[in-house]
This record gives sequence, C-alpha cells and structure tokens, in this order.
Amino acid sequence: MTFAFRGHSRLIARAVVDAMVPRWPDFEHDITDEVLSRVERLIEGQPVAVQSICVAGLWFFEVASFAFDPRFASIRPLTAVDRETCERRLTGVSHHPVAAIRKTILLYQTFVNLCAYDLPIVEAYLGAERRAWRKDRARLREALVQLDEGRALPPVPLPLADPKHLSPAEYLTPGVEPKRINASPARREPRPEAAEAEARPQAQAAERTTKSRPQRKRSQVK
Amino acid sequence: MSERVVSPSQYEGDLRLTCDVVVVGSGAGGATAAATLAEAGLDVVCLEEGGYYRTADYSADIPSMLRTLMRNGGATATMGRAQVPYLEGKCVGGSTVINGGMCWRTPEKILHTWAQERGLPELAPDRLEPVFDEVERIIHARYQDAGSEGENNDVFREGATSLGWKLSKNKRNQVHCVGSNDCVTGCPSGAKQSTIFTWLPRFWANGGALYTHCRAERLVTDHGRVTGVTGVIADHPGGRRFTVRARAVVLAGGAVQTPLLLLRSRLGGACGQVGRHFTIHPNVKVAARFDRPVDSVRGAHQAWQCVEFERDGILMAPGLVPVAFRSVAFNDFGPRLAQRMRDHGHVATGGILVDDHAAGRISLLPMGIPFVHYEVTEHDQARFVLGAARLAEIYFAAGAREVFLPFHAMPRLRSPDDLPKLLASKPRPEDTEYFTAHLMGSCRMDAHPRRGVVDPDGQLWDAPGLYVADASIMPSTIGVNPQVTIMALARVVAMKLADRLSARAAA
Ligand SMILES: Cc1cc2nc3c(=O)[nH]c(=O)nc-3n(C[C@H](O)[C@H](O)[C@H](O)COP(=O)(O)OP(=O)(O)OC[C@H]3O[C@@H](n4cnc5c(N)ncnc54)[C@H](O)[C@@H]3O)c2cc1C
Ligand code: SF4
Repeated sequence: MTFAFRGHSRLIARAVVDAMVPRWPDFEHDITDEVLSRVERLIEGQPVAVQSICVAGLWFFEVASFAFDPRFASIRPLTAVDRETCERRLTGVSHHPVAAIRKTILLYQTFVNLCAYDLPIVEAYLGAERRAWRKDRARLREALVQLDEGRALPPVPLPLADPKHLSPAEYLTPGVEPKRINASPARREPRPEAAEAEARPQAQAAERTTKSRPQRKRSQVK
Repeated sequence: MSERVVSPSQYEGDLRLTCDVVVVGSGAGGATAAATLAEAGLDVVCLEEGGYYRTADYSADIPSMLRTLMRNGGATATMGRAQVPYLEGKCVGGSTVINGGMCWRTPEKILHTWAQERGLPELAPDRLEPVFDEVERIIHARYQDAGSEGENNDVFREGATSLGWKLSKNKRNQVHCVGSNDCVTGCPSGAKQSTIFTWLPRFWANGGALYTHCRAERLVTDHGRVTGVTGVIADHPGGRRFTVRARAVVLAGGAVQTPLLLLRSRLGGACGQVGRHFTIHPNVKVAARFDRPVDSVRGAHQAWQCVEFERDGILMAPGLVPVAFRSVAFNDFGPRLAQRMRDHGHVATGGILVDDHAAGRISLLPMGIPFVHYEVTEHDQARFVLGAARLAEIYFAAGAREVFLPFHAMPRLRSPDDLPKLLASKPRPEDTEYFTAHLMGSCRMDAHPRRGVVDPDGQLWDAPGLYVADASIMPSTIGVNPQVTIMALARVVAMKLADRLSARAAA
C-alpha cells in the first residue's frame, strides 16, 4: 500500500526534513522535496503500526519541540517558525539527556540522512561518486573472471587474483585493465560460478543415501 | 542449468504442493538445508517470503534497496532500555545477500562447550571440521585479492600493527571482491557469494524448486505430527494462499522469524524455551578523522579483525560502508553533519563486536504482534566501553586527529589523553548507539528436552516431523560472524534428515 503524508502532517514532515537535509554554501540544489518523497517511500515499507508512530512523532515535534530549543525563542508550532529555529529545536530533541526523548527523532534522522546522502548530486558534491565506481568495478571483475577461465585456480582460502594480471598497487585504480599474460596450457578450470551451476551431488550425504534413495517424485502444483 | 524459481505471476489462484521436504527460507540455513536434501535425492520445495533479485537488480539507490531486500525496509530494532537496530534479509538468499561476507568457523572452545555442556558430541571440533571444510569450499571462503582492501582497512591494520596487537585476516565468501563497497545493499559486481551463487544452484541442479513471495504463517499438524505448512502469497493482490504437504518440514526463517512461526502455530511450547536465549552479538561503530586522506568509496568492507582481546569477548574491525551509511554514524543532522561529511575522505570507520552474555526473548503480544526484547547487560556494556577505547587507540596510533564514539555523553575523543576519561565515564546502555546483524539462538539445540527446543538432530522435541536449520538453533552465542556456523549446522541437520527419510522409504 502506498504511503504519503497528508494534510498538516505533510507540512510538519516537510519542515522536519528541511531542517535536517545537508546544506553547504556552495551547494546550490534544494533537495528537501526529493528527500521527503524518498522518506515516504521508506516509511511505506514499514508495518502500519510503525507508520502511525512516524506520523504521531511529527505531531510531537509540532506541538512540543519548542520546549527543547536551548534559546526558547517562542512556543509557536514547528511549522510556524523559521528553519534555523526548527533546526535548533530538533537538535535539542536529538541531543537531549533523556534517552527516551532522543529516540523520538532517531528514525527521522536516520531516514533523512540515508535518503539525502545517497542522492547522486550530494555524492557528486562530496566527491564520492559511488555509482561510477560500482560500474567500474563490475567491469573489472568481469575481466578478472574471464582471465580465470584459462588458468588453474588456487584452492580456498587463497586469494584468487594473480598479481601478474593486476598489481596490488593498481587494484583500486579506476579504469584499470588487468593484463593478459599467456595462459599456461596446463589445466583449464571453469569459473567458480559455472562450476557451482554444474554442481552434481557430491556431498557425503548424497553418497551415503544413494543406496537407499527413495522413489524420486517431483512436487506438483495441484 | 535452469533456476527453478517460481513466482506468483507464473500460476493462478492458490498454490497446493506435495513433496518430501518443504524448507521455509532460502538464507544461510535454508539454502544449505534445501541443497543438501535435494542432493540426497529427495523431492524438496523451498518457500521464500521475499522476491528473487540478482546482481543486475542491486541498484545504487540505497533506500529502494532497503525496501526491496530487507524486512520492514531495514527499520527493525530490539526493545529494551536501549533499542538495538538490526537487519534481516527478506529476499531469495536471505541475509547472505546483504551481509559482509566474513567467514569464520565457530571457535573451538565454543564447540567444546556445546559438546560437553549441551550434550552435543556431534558438534565437537573434530566432527565438524570436514563440514566446515566443505562449506568453505562451496561458498568460496577466501582472502581478498591483494590490493582490493583499500585505505579504510589499511589505517586499521597500521594502527593495530604499531601497537603490536594481533590481527587476523578475514576470509570472505567472494570471487574477486573488487572493493566496490556496497555489500549491504547487494553486491553490484556479483563477487559476493550469497546462497544464490552457491547452495541454491546445487539445489536447482538436483531438481529443487523455489517458490518466492510465500510467507509461511502456520504449520499443519496431523495427530501431533507436523505434515506441512500454510500461508499467504505475500505482496500479491487477491488474498491468495498456499499449502505444502510434506513428510518433513524444515524451518529456516532466521532467529527472529522461526520462533514467531512456532509461537503462532503453538508448537514447541512444552519446554518453555521457544524464543528464549536469543543473543544478538551487538556492535557499536567508531569513526576517526585523519589529516591524510582515507578513501571512503573504494575498498572492501572488512579485510581484518583485531583479535588481541578475543579472550575478553571483544573483536574490533574496520568497516567500510557507503557515504550515506556513514552519515548515520555521527548521530547528527543538518549543517553540523554536513560540515563533518565534507571531511568524509579523511574519515575511517570501524566497529566493536561483543560476545554478549545477555539472553533476549522473542514473543508474541496480543493480536499476534511480534515483540523482540533484549537488554545489554552492565558486564557487556563495560566491554563495549573498553572496546571503544581500544579501537580509538588503534586509530590514534595510526595518526587520527579525533575519534567519534557512539556514546551520547562522550561523543568525541581529541587525543589519547581523553581515553581515561572515557573509561571513567561509564556510559549507560540507553546512552549508547548499537547495531546488530548477528541474531541467534532463539530455538536452541540441546540434548535435554527441557533445556532446548530442538534435539541433536534438529527436530523439535515435541513436534515430530518439524526441524529447524537456521541461526535460531545455535546452542549459544559464538563471538564471531555466524554464517559459516549456520551453514555447517544446517548441513548436519539436513544430512541426518535425509538419512532418516531415506531409511524410512527403504523400510
Ligand atoms: C547486514 C548484515 C551483515 C552481516 N555480515 C555477516 C558477515 O560478514 N559474516 C557472517 O558470517 N554473517 C554475517 N551476517 C549474518 C548472517 O548473514 C546471518 O546470520 C545468516 O544469514 C542467518 O541465516 P538464517 O538462515 O538464520 O537467516 P537468513 O539468512 O536471514 O534467511 C532467512 C530467510 O527466511 C525468509 N523467511 C523468514 N520468515 C519466513 C516465512 N514466514 N516464510 C517464508 N520465508 C521466510 C526470509 O525472507 C529470509 O530470506 C550479517 C547479517 C546482516 C544482516
Ligand atoms: S566490497 Fe563490493 S565487490 Fe566486494 S563483496 Fe562487497 S559489494 Fe561485492
């Protein structure tokens, strides 16, 4: 079932998210609405009881968070104060000496941080471009797995890669290509996934039970 | 080889099946048991509540992956003075899809205790060794490719080495882990060998069929014997149901879901132990800021563990996680956190695992609401504080400028001179941020029917035909990452069950 904050709850949720998203002087994007909708998607994945607690928590911040503002500027609801005040109040909740009060904000804090810092524009701003790195690594691994097809693989637990293909110093360099060296004509081993896919009964259990194996009857949809 | 994976869109209406053995869950325990039973020639059906997602489906969008691969989108926590967030995989492959891939055998001293104190000689080190060998071979438990570790692992190793503390190199179930640093949302390169790459291909190759989106809700009994399982087709409209009848049922839903299923079915209650002795091997996170760069994007999740204080039940390890998960480690938000996150390329992250002595409990509240209760004991808390101080020492020895701690009253150390203050401050559990991924022991195995839920064969003491083969049967906490132990126990339970069913068929 889809979940969305409605009515005034939505205004409170927006104020909370707006106070929590990261901002830097030279970061020009306003990510509040995008983060809010991602937070809604996360809450959607919760059981209904947790969804209700999330909404109730917002109303607690709306009417009671003024009490946690170290400057105690006003008792107006959260949605009626500026962002700095809102942020001060929520920080007051999150750093409160009583654990039970701090915990009221932990879920939002976690959700907002995860949803904000995972955005490609934020990652790019921080110079942590994970998406490009993931692609680079998938490509490298495919190349390494192909090289394994022509050589005898070391037994577990030894590392698989041959440093002659890829030196340790280069391993984490973006765009690195493993070197092809002449494969020894010795043994050709299937790549591990393929070996697994073709796995045949070989466990002791199978050996011990083949003699008394019951009539094999496949499960059927009735 | 065809993957025999059946999703609800491939059939209409309710699902009714008969087979030799039905296995509930396809994670570390379930996939191992299903493959072992299928290899023994039995007709096996595996039911999985989650969907089937492969390498190409693991996207970089963390919130969407949390929803896709984990129970309750990853927002699950134990209740108590301190809440401990935990993660449970809910997809084909279970938690092996989202885990860090560390492979440790059960420590020998634990196996001796199980053999002697719990009456389980078949779990003695010499008896389990060939099983461990086989499990490690099948799941490709290897050391990292040289050079794939990355700087987050390097600073940890440097610090521990300069203090002269003992390090242990991790084996991980991986085939060319290329250090993409995304283990927790599904390995995007196909390197991590979740059960999708290891046990499940063996299961399929031997005729096993896996049904996705099938949430088991109740066990079916006939004159006191368990003869099947029934439940709903999850996440699909129309209120469709399934029933699978079998000669034996193997539960492997994990240490939280398995006791809940037993409690809902009112089975296993005679011993009064279902859901008890639940341990979680909790951990806390520590971050350290350096002047020099520490790459936070590239590298393997964890290549080392510091085992210097293993005797005291304290393990320390680096833990590289994507930047978004790092943001959660600082207990802050908004501009203050933004300022810190700007430094992410100079920050190392690690954690402390404590071999816990608390006994949590999983129970059902009125209206069937699950309740997972756990209290961190004072004794364990003292070890967390000690562990955090030791880990801070490692980072200071490697040149850290400041160390961020998970304790509310003492969130930061600026130099090693602050360490005595930390040790004296005695943070309380409710003022500590924990996390866990190692849930175990809620239906423990014991040779005595009053002390455990399952017997040494993994069969419920008071429900013939019903077996458990997952983290819940661990007779006690083990103090190391548990997947290899779970697979070994599941293998043993399944081998014995295969023998028993085959012998019965022959007779
Ligand atoms: C983030 C994370 C990191 C970890 N890192 C490591 C590590 O590095 N090394 C290590 O050794 N261990 C690690 N672990 C722990 C390890 O992965 C688990 O202990 C192990 O997978 C548990 O095995 P299991 O079979 O008990 O449960 P799971 O692997 O969780 O499998 C249970 C399966 O059963 C399904 N299920 C549950 N209930 C039902 C139901 N009613 N009907 C149908 N299906 C159901 C679930 O959807 C799930 O797929 C980690 C775990 C996590 C979450
Ligand atoms: S670090 Fe990356 S490549 Fe290695 S196992 Fe984890 S997700 Fe896969």
